[in-house]
Amino acid sequence: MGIGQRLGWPLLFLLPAAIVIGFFFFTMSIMVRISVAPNLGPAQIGDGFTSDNYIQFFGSTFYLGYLFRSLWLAAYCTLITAVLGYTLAYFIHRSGRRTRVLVGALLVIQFFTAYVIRTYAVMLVIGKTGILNRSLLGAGIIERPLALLFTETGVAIGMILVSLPFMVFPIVASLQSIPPNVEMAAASLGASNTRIFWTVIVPLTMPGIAAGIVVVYLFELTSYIVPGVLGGGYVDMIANLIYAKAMQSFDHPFAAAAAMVTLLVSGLTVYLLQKFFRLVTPRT
Amino acid sequence: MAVVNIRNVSVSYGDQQVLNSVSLTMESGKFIAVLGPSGCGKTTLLRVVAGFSEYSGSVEIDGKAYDAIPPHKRNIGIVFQDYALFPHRSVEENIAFGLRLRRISRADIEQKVTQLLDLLQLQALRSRYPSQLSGGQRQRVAIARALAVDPKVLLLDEPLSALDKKLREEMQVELRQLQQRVGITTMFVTHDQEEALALADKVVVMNKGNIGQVGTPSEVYARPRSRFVADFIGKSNVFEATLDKSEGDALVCKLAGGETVRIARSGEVRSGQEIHFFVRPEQLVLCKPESPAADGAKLAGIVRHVVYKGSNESIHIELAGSKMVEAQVVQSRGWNIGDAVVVGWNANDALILAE
Amino acid sequence: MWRRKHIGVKIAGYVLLLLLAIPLIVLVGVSLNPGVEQIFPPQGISLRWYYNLANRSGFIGALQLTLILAVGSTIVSTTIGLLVGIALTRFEFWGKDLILTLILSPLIVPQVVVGMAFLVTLSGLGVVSSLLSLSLLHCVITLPFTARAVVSALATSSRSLEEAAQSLGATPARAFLSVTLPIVSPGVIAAAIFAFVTSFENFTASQFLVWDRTTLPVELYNYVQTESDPPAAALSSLILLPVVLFVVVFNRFIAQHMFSGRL
Repeated sequence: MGIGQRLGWPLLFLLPAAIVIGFFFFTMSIMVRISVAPNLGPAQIGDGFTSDNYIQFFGSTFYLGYLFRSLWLAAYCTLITAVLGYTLAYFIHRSGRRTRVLVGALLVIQFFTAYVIRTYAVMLVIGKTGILNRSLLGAGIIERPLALLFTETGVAIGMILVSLPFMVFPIVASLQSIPPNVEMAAASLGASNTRIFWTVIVPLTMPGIAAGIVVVYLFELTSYIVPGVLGGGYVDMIANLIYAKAMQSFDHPFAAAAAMVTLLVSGLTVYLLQKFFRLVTPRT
Repeated sequence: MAVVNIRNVSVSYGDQQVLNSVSLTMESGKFIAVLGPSGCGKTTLLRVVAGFSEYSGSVEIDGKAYDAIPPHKRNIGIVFQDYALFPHRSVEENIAFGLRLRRISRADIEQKVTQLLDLLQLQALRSRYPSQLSGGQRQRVAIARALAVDPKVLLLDEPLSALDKKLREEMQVELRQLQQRVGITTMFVTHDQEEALALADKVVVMNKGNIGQVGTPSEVYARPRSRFVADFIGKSNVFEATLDKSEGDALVCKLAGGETVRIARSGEVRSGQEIHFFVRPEQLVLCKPESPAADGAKLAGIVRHVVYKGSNESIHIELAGSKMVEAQVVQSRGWNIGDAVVVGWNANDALILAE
Repeated sequence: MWRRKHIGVKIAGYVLLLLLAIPLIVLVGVSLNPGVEQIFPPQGISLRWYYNLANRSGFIGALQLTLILAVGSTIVSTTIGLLVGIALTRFEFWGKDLILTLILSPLIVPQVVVGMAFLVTLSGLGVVSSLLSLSLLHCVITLPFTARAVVSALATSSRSLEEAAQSLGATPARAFLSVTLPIVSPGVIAAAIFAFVTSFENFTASQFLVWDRTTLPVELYNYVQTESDPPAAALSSLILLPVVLFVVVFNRFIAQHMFSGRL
């Protein structure tokens, strides 16, 4: 009997969400439509159908360059982020309560602070007159300031620092979910610490690693702020291209096509990553 | 005081039949234990009576059909397995919850709550929160809360399973006394056969969505109708045999190994029929090979295992054809592993099982 | 808990913490500079640039717009999320998983793509630059977070509590409001805070829809692209302050939620 008999109530409850999500899907479908519309000059969109926008994107090494740079940068930054994130997560896991609360506070502050602010803060550190160069110069380690700002290295440093919290949280969660007796059991069977780490802890935290990597990769692949602030136009990625085409050249059809490519590429990589992690995650 | 009539109730989830046309009458003021292994449908039966599960068939209370009445209008008290105390309300507020919904005057609520706190000896815990209570105390609060609204029927869903053994036995006595004092028709769902036998006026044994047997505790223990009931309630040694002839009050039959045994007579049987019968461990009689044995059987065996249980001992014996039986003896005659033994029983303690 | 083998992890851990903390410390330090240079350590302690913010109508207007958007979209998306949660956990019907997947789908679409899709749609409708379009965008962005958090809070809350309330005479709605809602409210509040922050800091999608009024992240981005004096640091530090206070006050509660992987 209960309350589940009339379908009217759930429909009513879902209606507002349906409007919001429905509008989201509506915008996505309009974008698909615009991506195959002819561009008739700035802010002029034709009525017909054309594949020109996609041909323009895939036919040009200039445009493809944005895509490949994004894929490559995101790939190695995610890898570094994963190693650093795991280290930090393991550190948190092994720490006592007080350190854990302190680190938790710092990470949550990062998490709740706008990317723009965190990226800007990184800029203040690695800039030409930033504290990094000033202290290295002061210590006599380098003779000329390091050129980090407006280089790929600078962008990579920024992406790693900004996305590190995303990596740490899921890994800590999966570390916490390992029953402590499992480690003791492994040790009692004669496994060394290193061996326990690689054969017990890492496999059991694979779901956390997978979650972190997928989120961070998706975030880094489509970064806008970090290349914008730390790359200064020299290290633009695919999101910067889309924005420039849409808002500066007013070429909506091309920007829509580039956005579609971005969506499909990110969807595909996430799919492949998930498939990969399903293979390497032990079944439980 | 209410009579509950459950008629042909069936419940299925998808293609899984959880209750299969179950019919049951709960007499006024009686304590009925619904007993069965997990997944037998006993909790579903309770949820049907409470109105939380969709079903076909009918539930009547005092002759009135309840099938179309939603749970909140049924006035049936429930004590859940996890007690389901409202964690954000004090003991007092938990008990008063149902009364407040009934627009009863503040003074009357106060009086009723105090009365229940007294009845369940919770006076000192009045303003505590559930997280500050022990398991036994939570249990009492849950019962007080359910009784506060003067329900027609009280349903208890394995309410003792979360308690440790000693507390559980204390609560059994308390629960039974309380139920008799209040005189409320009560359904008690449990998987613990000792609990069911100790508490109930009537035991309902369930298996795979069906009712296997209904009877008083001594009936279901002494006269189980099926092998399932015999196995589930208490321990039993089940034998296969072929009937030979009847002889006075007993039946003579042959075991698989050819030994002739005598069992209690029951119902219509014919010669040559394959049957199962069982003997409870405490009814097996053990003696040394040369001593006189009981009248029912004289089966040679070897002691394989002895379990000391304080007030008694259970002896595991291997008979011919590797068949294992268990005997319970009160005073040990010093059986040791490897001893040769003769296992017997009195013919009227060996009962035929219906299949 | 620390064995000698782990000393390397310990050192690396503290180094990483330092790497995460330094930029924020530098940010606050720079904002205190008395001069126009963005230098750390500051060459003195001055609140000059904080007072200076009062004259910057661009920042103030952007902060206003951002707060309106964040508060509005938090209220709307938490309410919608609660309704979704009730529908999906308290009623029986077909296709619940599909519905949840659809509601969560904006999460896997990159922000730049969401922004682009809104831009082309709204410019087609002729209403790009308006509070309404930004509000709608922020609801789309925040709803997956609130819906997910509310659904998981409601799904894990014990049904027997609600059933107990019903058996005592409460209607299903009353049982939900007086028993379940108070119990899941920490989860709902956490979801609301998360929605607020998500809306407040959104830049990539919002920048497609701003007009002569911008949101704070967009204003800050444009400022640090073109200027190199400390007001941006002062404003950023000012925004950081409530976050830090909040985290200090509620640290235990938040850390518990974060590390349990619930957000």
